[in-house]
Formats: sequence, structure tokens, C-alpha cells
Amino acid sequence: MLSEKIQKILLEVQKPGRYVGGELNSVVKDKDSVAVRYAFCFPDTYEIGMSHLGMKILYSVVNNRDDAWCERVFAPDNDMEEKMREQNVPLWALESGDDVKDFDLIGFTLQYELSFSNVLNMLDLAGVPLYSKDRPDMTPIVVAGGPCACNAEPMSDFIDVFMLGDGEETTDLLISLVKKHKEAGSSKLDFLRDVAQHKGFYVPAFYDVEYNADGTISSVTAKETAPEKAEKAIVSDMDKAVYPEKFIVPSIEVVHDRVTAEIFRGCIRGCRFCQAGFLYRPIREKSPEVVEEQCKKLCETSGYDEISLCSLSTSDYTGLQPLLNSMLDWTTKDKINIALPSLRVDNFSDELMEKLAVVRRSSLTFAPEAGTQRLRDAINKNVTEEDVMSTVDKAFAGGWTAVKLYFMIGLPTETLDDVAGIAQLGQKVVDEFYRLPDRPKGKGVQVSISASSFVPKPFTPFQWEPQDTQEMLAEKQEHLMASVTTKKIKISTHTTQTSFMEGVLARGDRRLSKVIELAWRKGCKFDSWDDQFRYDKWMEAFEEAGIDPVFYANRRRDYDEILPWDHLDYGVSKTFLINENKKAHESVTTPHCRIKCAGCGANKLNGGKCDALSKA
Amino acid sequence: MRSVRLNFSKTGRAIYISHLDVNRMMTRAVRRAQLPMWYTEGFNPHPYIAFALPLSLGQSSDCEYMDIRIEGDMTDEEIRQRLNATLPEGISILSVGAPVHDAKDISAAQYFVKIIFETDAEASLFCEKADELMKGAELIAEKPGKKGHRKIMKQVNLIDFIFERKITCTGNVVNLQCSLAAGNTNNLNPTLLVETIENCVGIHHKQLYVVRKKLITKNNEIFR
Repeated sequence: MLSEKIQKILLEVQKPGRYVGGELNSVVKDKDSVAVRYAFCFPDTYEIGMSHLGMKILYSVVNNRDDAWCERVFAPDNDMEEKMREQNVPLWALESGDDVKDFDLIGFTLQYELSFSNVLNMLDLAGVPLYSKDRPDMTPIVVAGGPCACNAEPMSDFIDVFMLGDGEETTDLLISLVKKHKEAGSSKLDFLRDVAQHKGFYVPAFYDVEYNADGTISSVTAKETAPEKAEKAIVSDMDKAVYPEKFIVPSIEVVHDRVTAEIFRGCIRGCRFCQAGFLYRPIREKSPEVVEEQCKKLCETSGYDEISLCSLSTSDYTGLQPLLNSMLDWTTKDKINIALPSLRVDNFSDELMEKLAVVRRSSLTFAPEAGTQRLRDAINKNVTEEDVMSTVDKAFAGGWTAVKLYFMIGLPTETLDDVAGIAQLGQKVVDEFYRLPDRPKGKGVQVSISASSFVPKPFTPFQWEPQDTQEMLAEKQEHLMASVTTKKIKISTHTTQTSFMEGVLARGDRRLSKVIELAWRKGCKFDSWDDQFRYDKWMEAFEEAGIDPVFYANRRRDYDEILPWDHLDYGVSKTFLINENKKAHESVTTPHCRIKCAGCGANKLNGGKCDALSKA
Repeated sequence: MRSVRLNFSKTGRAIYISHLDVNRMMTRAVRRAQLPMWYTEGFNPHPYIAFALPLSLGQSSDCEYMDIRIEGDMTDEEIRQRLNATLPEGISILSVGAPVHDAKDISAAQYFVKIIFETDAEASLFCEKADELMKGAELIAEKPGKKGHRKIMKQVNLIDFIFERKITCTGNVVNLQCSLAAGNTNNLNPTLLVETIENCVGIHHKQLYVVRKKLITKNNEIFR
């Protein structure tokens, strides 16, 4: 239960419902009857963290066990943090109200680089020493997973164990290992030696990194029990993977407040800018029957009236038509809306659109990513202008008057003409609307263009590319604005400073741990919130640490340079990535995995199996 | 289609759920309970749900009322059981029945207020002064109000909105039982009353617990 101290500050902060737990389907156990207590920490606010599917899955994985209890922890907002520090109230977990520092495991999910400072802030609020070396005891063990664990080097001084790849099976194994070593009275080192031998775990302290005079890495050497390369874990059969039967239903409004069904993991497309498209390979589909059953169950236990069919590219799901046909029978009756995020313009059918509009009409978003065919070929997006036009035709004919288009600026090989191409494509969409005889009558069209700044990421063909400097990005943003000549097009862009910081951290090495600590000490947190991001403080931190951020963001790497994440194995081979990089510079596309296997190598993780081939 | 009035309580962790969020929560709860809800017609069909009187964040209550419309012939008891099986911690349906009064006729609410002070002396001082002030003719507080569309601070005399009161003190705890104006036109939040008195006396509580016990109609009947 919540202590009196906590109760008192709850009424002095905004939205206290974020800090109290007790939501429907949250799990409360008897703490004396469990062997392992796990604090699952999301380094952002409740509203954002509660929208995250991975947390829901891992919450079930742990709580399905009788010997373990998983609780949730989120970053308190500034007003709450102030009260907590003022009244000496340490960070607590929502289910029990107990202090996080007393848990056996403290796990963070690293969804975006700009949440790193929040991890430090949460450890500090919990009263847990920041540095792994300052935590000599067996517990608490601080672990981290999620996409940013693929290059976790900047966080490696703070985290004891990183979990690479799919967490369903590794989390279960981790709990068992902690239980075993707690009972045996092992030291932390004994535990780390054991865990490092298992697939899907990476103990950064077991790798020595040496540097060249020019700042690049000269060698990474594994020691203790660590393998030369730490390999990511995967769930080989999505139908058998743990999936929650119940979602916690937040009592206050959160960002994504709905049933989320994951329909497949991985992607067949191979867009060269997209980290997720490579990190989650090989593609593994869930069968439509299993998806439907899970959706039904979740709707019953949550009372939600919206289902989102979630994946990296939903219209590529081989079972989409039969799934929708079957689901619409009961969703229409129960007034449940089906949302399909991540649709592609090259396989968006009339049938699909009709099904989208059955109960409530959701918005339509497509991502051409680049403004010209040449650049779309370079990034291997594999969509044409005709694809975009035929899709918006269908949408307008179907009654939609607003579409959102996602683009990136700062892509490798991009010129100002490519940037102007974004505005021109937007203009063609507007023109198309007025050309259509069966367009919705009496309404104007609204084309929203979001142009984010490209950040090169590890394990992509662009991992060697220099990120555009802030000046270049700003020039391109201005050029884009100047190229738009109608009010029917709305442009939104990202601040170049946040993109730069994201770029530095994404491809950083372990020397950045010091910078992150310094920045946090200067007050940096919630860096992904534009209103709270303190670029000046970050730059001061680099200055004090004697580290040049440009080295990480804006430098072209050679193919033979040792990259900070080279000792991690995510399945996709470096040779494949080099070939893809070369093809990008020649604007040559690679067909998607169902047309022809590109030989990325990720199927080795799944015993040579890949759903792209078996379900072609 | 028939209207059904549900009386529910809000206690424990649920007191931190705002009125708007209770509304959303109930919309989901009736779906989970699979009540044969009557749906509004139109582009965004939703079940009909209406609340008698919003409750302030952080206060407990035994007298929350929610009206729903159902089709078919599910019994009141089944509605109660089905909902209770699927409500989050701290929200519980106490009774279900046909509406008797109109929510527009609510004119007062009864509260139990427990005020805990740092010391016994502070508590007895508060108790004495509060009694005195509430017996007087004027107790002025500032309340946010509107003049046309502009938001302004209004001066109000709280005495006009206090109908009954009984105040006692044991140790460092003050117990205040009161009936205050409630409803669409006049409304006095017991927290405002306590804080106004505290400002006059110049002390501040350590903890404050408010429980709304009953809603009263303009004919002095218990709302149900």
C-alpha cells in the first residue's frame, strides 16, 4: 500500500493517478511468497510507458511465474520529482508502493536514445548507485533491453547486464538465474559469469575496449566467461510466444489506450534507413487464428473499443485479408474499431480501405520517406509515385479528406532537389484531390507532411554514413518550407539539436557514459521532450569530458573500422550491410524478401528458417 | 430501453482518478461486464452514461451515482454483480435501482472531514476558531469564477453555503461533519472551507481526508 508520505504528496501534483497503481488487471502478489522481485522501469512518463507493448508482454512473462513478481515504475514528472526530493521519498513501484532499491532486479527498456538521462535520474531517485561498479552486491541487478540495447555502449558503465533481442525467453531465464544465485548466496561476479554464457545476454564489464590515437576503436576483447560476440535471442514461434491475456487498463488517459495485437515480428522490406527492419529479423508471423483469439480475449478483459494490428509493415502480413474478414464479424457487432498503423502505399487495396471505415474512421498515414524516385531507390523504399497516387485516389474516393505523409530529410546522397521533391509530391496529392470527380463534396483537402531528420543507426546499411550537420539540416528544412506554395499542405519538422544528440548517442561508444552522467548532473532529463531538452547543458558536458560529439554524429566511417557494436551479433551479416550500403550509393534497389532472399544471414538465428520464404 | 441508477463508492487508490477518467473507466467497465447497453446513434456510437455530481480529486465517497440505459431484461442484481466483478480497486457498486430523483434537484452534500495536525495544540486551536468562524456572518474566500468569458477570482461568503456543521477534536485530529451546498448552481468544496479557516487561523494541516456521505435534494430528501 502507499505510504502516508506518498499519499500526502499525491494531492500536490498534476495527475496523481499516474503514481498510484491499482488499475484493473494489475498484478498484486504476496511479496513474502515470491523469490524474485522485478521492477520494470520505463524511463518516461506513465502515459507514454503504459502505451508500450513490450512492457505488457514482459509483465505477463514474469507474473505468469508463481515465484516472481513484476511491478511497474515510470519516470515521475518534474512536479512529482521536486516533491519526492524535498520530502525524501524514494522512487516506488506502482503495485506494492515499495521502494525500487529493495527489488532484486531493476530492468529498463531503452526505446530511444534520448531517454538515457532519465535512466540515471530514476536510479538516483530510487537511491541506487548509478555506476555498475558501485553496486557490489548480488542485488539489485540493473538490466536493460529494447532496441537501443543493440548499441548500449554509452550506457555500459551503468548497466550490469543488457538483454539483446526478444525478451520473452531471456526474461524468464534471467528470473531463474537470479533466483538460483540468490538462493546459493552467490556473489555478483558469480552471477554475471553465469548469465554471460547464455544467448541473449551481454555483460559489458566483460569486454575490454582499446582505442587508437585518432579516437577510433583498436580492439574489443572478451574476458571472463563472455563469448567473443554476444548474440541476440529470438522467439522462434510467434504462435507459442507468451502474449498477455489481460492488459492493464490505465485508469487515466494514456497515449495509446487500446488493444494492441502484434501480428508479426521482423520485416521483409529492407529499407536501408530503418533500424527496426534489420534488428528484428528474421521475419516471424503469428497465424491469423492466434491473433484473432488474442484480440477477442483482450477486448473482453479490457473493455477497449479499438484494436491496433501492429507490426513494422502491417499490409505485408500474409494473413491480413482472412484475419480482417473474420474479425469484422464480431468487431462490428461489438462496435470495436480496427486500426492499421504502418500501411504501405504499394499494397493498399480497396477492400482494405472499406474495412478500415466500418465502425469509426481513423486517420490515414503513409510514408513515402523521400521526395524523388532516385532517393527512394537509394534508401530501398521500393515505392513509386504511382503507388502514392493510386493510394490517395482510393482514400479520397473512400471519403477521406486528410492524409498524413511521412518523409525524412538528411538521407544519404540527398540533394536540395530531393528535398523540393517532398513539396512537389505533396502538391501532386493536393492536385489529385481536385482532379477526382468523386471526391468528397464541399470539403477541402489537408495534406500533413512530417519531415523528420534522418539519424544513421547501428545495424543498418547506413551505419557508416555521416549524419547531416545541423546547418545542413536547417538549410534543407528552410528549402522545404520555401518549396511549398499552398496552405493545403502543412509541414512539420524536428528540431535539429535533438536529432544531433540522438545521432551522437545512437552510434556512441562507452566513453560517452561520462558525458551522460555529466549532462544528467547539470539537470538534463526528458531529453525527448522538446520543451525540456537542454542542448546547451549537453554541449557543456561534452566540453568538460573533452569529447567531440561531431566525431560520433558527422563522421564517415570506413568499412573496416571497428564499430562500438561490432561485438554484438544481431544476425544480419556485416558483408550484407556493406553491399547494401554500396547499392545505396548507386541508387540500386534490393527486392523485398518474398521476391528474392537477399541473404542477410539473420535466418541463422532461427535454424535457417525464415517466414519470408515459406510464406512467399 | 430503461434507465438504471447505480450507486457506487470511490475509496483507496481510486480517489486519485479524476471525474473525466471515471467516466472513461465506466464506459469500459460496462463493456467488460457485457451489459446490454443502449448505444447512442450517429457517427460515433457510445453507451449512454451520466453522472449525478462530480467528485473532487483526492476525496472518497459512498454516494456516487451513475445513470445508464440498457436494453433487454437483465436484473438489477445481475448488473451489480457483473460490474463488481470487473471494476478496478477502490470502485464498488453498492446498489442498483430505478432513478428516483432528478440530478438537477441536488442541493447539498454531507461530508465527513478528518483533519490531522502536527500537534494537539494546533488541532484544538483550529477546532475552536473554526466553530467561531462558522457561527459568524461572514467567511470570505476567493473562488475561480467567470465574468462573461473571462476567468476571474470571485469573492464569496462561505457561510451562505454551510447548512449544517459539527466539529470535534481528539488529540491532533479534528473531525468535521458538515452539509454543504452542492449541485449545479452553488457548490462548496470542503477542502476550500478547511483551507479558508486555516488561512484565518494561520496554521496548516498535515493530512486531510474528505468522505462524501450523502447527496441531498432541494426537498431535503436523500438523493437516490
